[in-house]
Amino acid sequence: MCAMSTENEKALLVGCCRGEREVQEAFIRRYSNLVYSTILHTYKAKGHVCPDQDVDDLHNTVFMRLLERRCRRLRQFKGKNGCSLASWVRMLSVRTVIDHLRQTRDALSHPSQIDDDQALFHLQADIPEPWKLLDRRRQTDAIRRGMDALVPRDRLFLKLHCLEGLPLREVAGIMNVSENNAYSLKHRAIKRLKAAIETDSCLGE
Amino acid sequence: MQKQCLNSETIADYLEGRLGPHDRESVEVHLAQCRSCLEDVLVARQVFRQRSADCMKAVPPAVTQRAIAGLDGTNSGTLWDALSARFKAIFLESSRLLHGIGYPFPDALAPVRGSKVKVSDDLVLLSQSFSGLDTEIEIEKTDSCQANVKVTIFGTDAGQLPVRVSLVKNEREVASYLVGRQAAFFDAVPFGQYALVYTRNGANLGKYDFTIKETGHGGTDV
Repeated sequence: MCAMSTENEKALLVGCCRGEREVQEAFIRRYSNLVYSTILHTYKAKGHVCPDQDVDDLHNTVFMRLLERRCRRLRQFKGKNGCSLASWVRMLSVRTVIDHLRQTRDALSHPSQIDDDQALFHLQADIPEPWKLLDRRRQTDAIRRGMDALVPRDRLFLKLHCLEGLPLREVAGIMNVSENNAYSLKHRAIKRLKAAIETDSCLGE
Repeated sequence: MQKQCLNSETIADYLEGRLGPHDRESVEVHLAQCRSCLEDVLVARQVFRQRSADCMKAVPPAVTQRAIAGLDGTNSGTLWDALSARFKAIFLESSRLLHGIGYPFPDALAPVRGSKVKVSDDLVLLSQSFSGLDTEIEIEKTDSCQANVKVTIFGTDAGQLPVRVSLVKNEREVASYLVGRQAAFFDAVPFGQYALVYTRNGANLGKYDFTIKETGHGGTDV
């Protein structure tokens, strides 16, 4: 699918919102491929094979959600930072699939979904020595409190790197920093986590 | 989910690097505390990347066709839904034909005095006349417990002040519109007891009490 000009996108949006049947049909034809392949890719990303019937239903659901009730959902698209209609439709498709998987509880069975408590426990290698004398439950609780005390950026970094298990290069890509900066971020976040846990420990005693 | 979750456009902007430092920070503050949005971001990132690496699998024509058929509401599953949609289409077409033979309001349905017409399981038309006004209320079920209410007023002269139509629930105004030539449209009204109050220049013209309720077979009635 070739890129569409903003003007064309706007014309498509206006026509759909006016309820013009031919434009709504053109909208579906335009984004049908995109929605379909996004659904398949989302299933793949979640480690599932999507049954044909589900792809068909989800594809239909995405368009119905966009166009129902006088295009209420479609009207929410603003494109203010230069987001294309295609990017937005793709994101909506991803979320529709994830919501569907959450409802069917499949999302929970994905192998990359590490149990939080277990993942937090793995952080113990980086925590101060006295903590290793505590039982696992108390260690996990302490790390959780320490995480809560971090600034959001550090917490997000540790969640992505330590809980979700993403390599530093990935985390750097998501957080829009260089790989070198990602190492600094890691060092700083762990240092702050240690400090937060130590403080918590002193308060606890 | 924490506070208000990120909308899809913001996530796309975040992943595609279009946000400024301040907006990025706001997104990251939210992601640090909302597991659900974080999962959406992580999966979407993977999908966006896969899509640029793989060639796109073509959608079967039948799938696109089914989505297009959904525009008519004819693919909603049951024979009853299909028949309702068909009957509604015939009714609206008949109304348009009536306008074609001289009815003076080209975009409105012809009013029937003091009547109630159940066009389909999800659409009811009510008509009322008072104080020289003919009103038509169209109630269309849009969700499991919501309906859209459209009020059209006929019989107002061009020189007259517009009529204010207020939707009232438990003596409290929910919304109100000044209606000249166009209709008042109340969107996503939850089922329940309401009144429509008609006023012109502060003077009360009339009131109509009604209840929007679910029928036994999933439709709506008044």
